[in-house]
Amino acid sequence: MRHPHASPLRAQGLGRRGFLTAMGGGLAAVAVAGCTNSANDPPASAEPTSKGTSGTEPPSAFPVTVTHKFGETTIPAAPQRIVALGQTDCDPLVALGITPIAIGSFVEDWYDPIHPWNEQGFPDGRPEELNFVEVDFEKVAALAPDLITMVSGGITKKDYETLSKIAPVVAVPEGYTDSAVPYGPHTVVIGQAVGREEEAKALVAEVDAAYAAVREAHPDWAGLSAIHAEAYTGLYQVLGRNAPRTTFLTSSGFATTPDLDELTGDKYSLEISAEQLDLVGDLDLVIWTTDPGAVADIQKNPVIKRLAAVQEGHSIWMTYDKDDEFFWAMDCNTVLSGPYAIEHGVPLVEAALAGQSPLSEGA
Amino acid sequence: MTTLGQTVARPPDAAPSAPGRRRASLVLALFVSVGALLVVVVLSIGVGSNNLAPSTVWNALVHGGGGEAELIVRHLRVPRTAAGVMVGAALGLAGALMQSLTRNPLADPGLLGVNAGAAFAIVVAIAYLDVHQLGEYVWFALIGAGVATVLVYVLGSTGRGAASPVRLVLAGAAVTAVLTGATSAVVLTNGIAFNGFRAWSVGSLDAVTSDVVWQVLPFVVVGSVLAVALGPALNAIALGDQLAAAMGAKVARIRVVGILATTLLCGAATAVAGPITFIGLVVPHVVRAFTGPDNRWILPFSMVAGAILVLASDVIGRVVLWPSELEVSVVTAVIGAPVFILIVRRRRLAQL
Repeated sequence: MRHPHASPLRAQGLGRRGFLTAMGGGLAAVAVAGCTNSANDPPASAEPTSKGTSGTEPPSAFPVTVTHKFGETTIPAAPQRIVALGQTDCDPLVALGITPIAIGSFVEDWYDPIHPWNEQGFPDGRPEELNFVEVDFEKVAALAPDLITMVSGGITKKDYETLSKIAPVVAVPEGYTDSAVPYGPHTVVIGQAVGREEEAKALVAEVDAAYAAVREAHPDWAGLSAIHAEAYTGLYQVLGRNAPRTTFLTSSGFATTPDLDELTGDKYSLEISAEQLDLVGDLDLVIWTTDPGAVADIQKNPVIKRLAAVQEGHSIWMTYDKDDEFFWAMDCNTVLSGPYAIEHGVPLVEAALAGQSPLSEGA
Repeated sequence: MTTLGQTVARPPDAAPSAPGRRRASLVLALFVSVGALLVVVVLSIGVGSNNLAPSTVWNALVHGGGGEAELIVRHLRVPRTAAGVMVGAALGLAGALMQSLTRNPLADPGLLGVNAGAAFAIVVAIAYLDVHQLGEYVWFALIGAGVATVLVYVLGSTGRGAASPVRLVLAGAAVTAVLTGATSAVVLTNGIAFNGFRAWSVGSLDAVTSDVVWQVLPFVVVGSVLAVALGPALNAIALGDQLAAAMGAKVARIRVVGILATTLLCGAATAVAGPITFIGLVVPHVVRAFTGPDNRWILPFSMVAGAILVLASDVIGRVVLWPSELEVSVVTAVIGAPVFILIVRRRRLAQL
């Protein structure tokens, strides 16, 4: 889950346009069949499979073979020293009661990989953080891992091959984009790698059930339109229907609109002109993200404040500040962050639909 | 401004036999240019990312009537059009002023560190003062531009002798380099990812609102009056500092007023639209190609031509990348570069 908006270093290097183009290019190949409620169902043709584990208990399962987009990886024995290099890969491990020895991070001061939903996995203090955008292979090798997971956040084939010389590597399941592996396949593929596929599936089913409960408790949300949008000074973006944050809305019963879907296609996000903002503002619910500290200013922006969803209070306001855990819970979209997003998001959504313009806690 | 350049230099290539005829044709050309600008203004209000019918645009413009059309026409396109005219005129004029003042055909408003100063001030404001609105950027941009210019002038004037064009340009380059580095340092080390700054730093009119236009208008007006009034004096400067002084022009005072005007114009333009560098370079050359070297004509023509180029570029940028927009700075470069090459190839750049 790389954030097009949240990486000053890359933005500096490429310039905004180049950076966004690069993002778009990287995401153009997205082929997730994400629609309402089915965002977490793996495509039928690409279901992660593991050989020799189904129906058996974990300890006796090894060696296991995990299939992903770069082929198959065999893990000979139950891994003890796991490097969870993918941006959110520590979450499924923590959910399974496993503490990785090091975890991936942007390693920048605006980002913190430890959240309320996964901190219990690190009772002995913060794990070592490794930059997953530019992997320091020597650092990884020095940790002597026996399993490296690189499922969320993206990995190149070259990096995959280099890492594979250090330890078995589990990459993105076939059929998913690097930035948008939903919690289902994300958890299952990591569960397979540690020989705990059945447990992983059970955990996924719990989150699925939690979302089902949200839909059941709020039948009136079904069919309402909703979207995530980002507003900065002079820059407006709308998120695609497969972006992790959007799946929080669709899993809760909301729908994206066909005209926005047509524009965003499989992109993570799309920049739109100020003149097109009614495409966003006319929806029943809008979740706005802006720079930390900028919410009040963006609400005063003459263009934004005239939009229907803003005037009528049908908007939730948040930032990508590291303390804005609701943002990160939706953005991580993991087996652990999902329940957190539900717990904190449902009251916010209720308040927004009541016209109260709620503010996310960390914003 | 006869107090500055008491002896007005006759434009060297104005044929003494027919100055009246040349003058008449230039006046006509100026009217035609203003007419072209009006056409572009109409296009700018009529054309945008949201495809409104001309009748809808007219109704929204004249009667308001609420709703999406009014929002788009009155609150987006009109301020944006005003900003485009202002920014283009300011940059075209400032470019012409800079090129004459420094006698450097490659001079543009960025040369005296104005853009770098504005950008640095805005970054500091965003990073440490929690400023997130374009209307607030403006003040910081003007202060930054002013401080950078003073710094450049002080650096360029130290040591023996007065500030020569070459020393000013060198000081400008040095200050620009330092400020650009400092800007990067703030962006790279600060925790907040500067999305607003990134949008501004590309150079765009997308975010302009009417309050911002009103805020910077006085600066552009004062800067324009100062600059245009300098025209005769700049003709004297064109002969070289010593000859100009011998003819009675107060070279140092002309230069200070010129730099003040440049700072006001560029600071205001940069605050509104971000750093748009190409206009100030190319517009005076295009203008000079048909007005000749008389600054009394180059300055007003540069204003009108700059406004046309910026506004037309902005209109094109609104439609080529639908539903997003291409920043005006990108379009001006794409349009301006071939024009520039054409002029350079067709005739030698008018000597300064």
